[in-house]
Amino acid sequence: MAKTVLIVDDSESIREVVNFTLQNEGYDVLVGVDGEDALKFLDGRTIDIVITDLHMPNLDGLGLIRKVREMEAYKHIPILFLTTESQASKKMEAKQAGATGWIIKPFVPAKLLSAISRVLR
Amino acid sequence: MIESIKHIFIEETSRDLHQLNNELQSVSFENISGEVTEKIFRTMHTIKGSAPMFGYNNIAEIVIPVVETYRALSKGRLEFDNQIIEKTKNIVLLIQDELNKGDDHLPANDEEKQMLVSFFTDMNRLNDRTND
Repeated sequence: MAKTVLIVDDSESIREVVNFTLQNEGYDVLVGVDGEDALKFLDGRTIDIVITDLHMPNLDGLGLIRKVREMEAYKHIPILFLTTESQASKKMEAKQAGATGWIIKPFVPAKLLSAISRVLR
Repeated sequence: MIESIKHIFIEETSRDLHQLNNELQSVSFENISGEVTEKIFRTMHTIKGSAPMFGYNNIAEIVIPVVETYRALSKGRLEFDNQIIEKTKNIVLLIQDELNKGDDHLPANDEEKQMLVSFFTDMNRLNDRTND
């Protein structure tokens, strides 16, 4: 059965690249345009991994991850940050909030796929 | 694949720059809000990450010092002045100009571009010194 990935990014072009990359590899993809929008998908359905941007309007990546970790159904779901941010302090903050991993933009699609495979193994 | 999505990048970046340009027309260093500052930071941050994926390395180079300047401004480590607002307006237009030229033109070495990038780079050096 195909794994389901929730991608969250306020950039349409990045969403398209990630969506295309994942669908091409057989993943089912759900797409949120910011943290607030992504919450609508977290309604008890099966989601295998969340890939989120950090800096977004309405609800940013850190806000999203904190909300997800409060949900019983998604408490242990892997969450990868896909972000331009490379500051160590932000990475630490994300880790403390419950992030599983961190991928820097710009990214090579193969690297993204490999990170997802590693986490879902 | 990337080529087929490039037009989305060009459209969204042009739209974001257009919005920023409109907002910047009505602000001064005395009344710029945290919301507008955050929006400039976020837009520049997005461009920094997405532009190289579509071959616009020249644009990414332009925005890197702007991102760091706005990070410092949003955290109160730097203060706005008229010059920062004016240079931001100019850099928004410069990025749009680079976007219009396409990704395969030779990197511009014009005075205006160098001057703007130097300005924001100097701002970051000032911020680094202040926070040492």
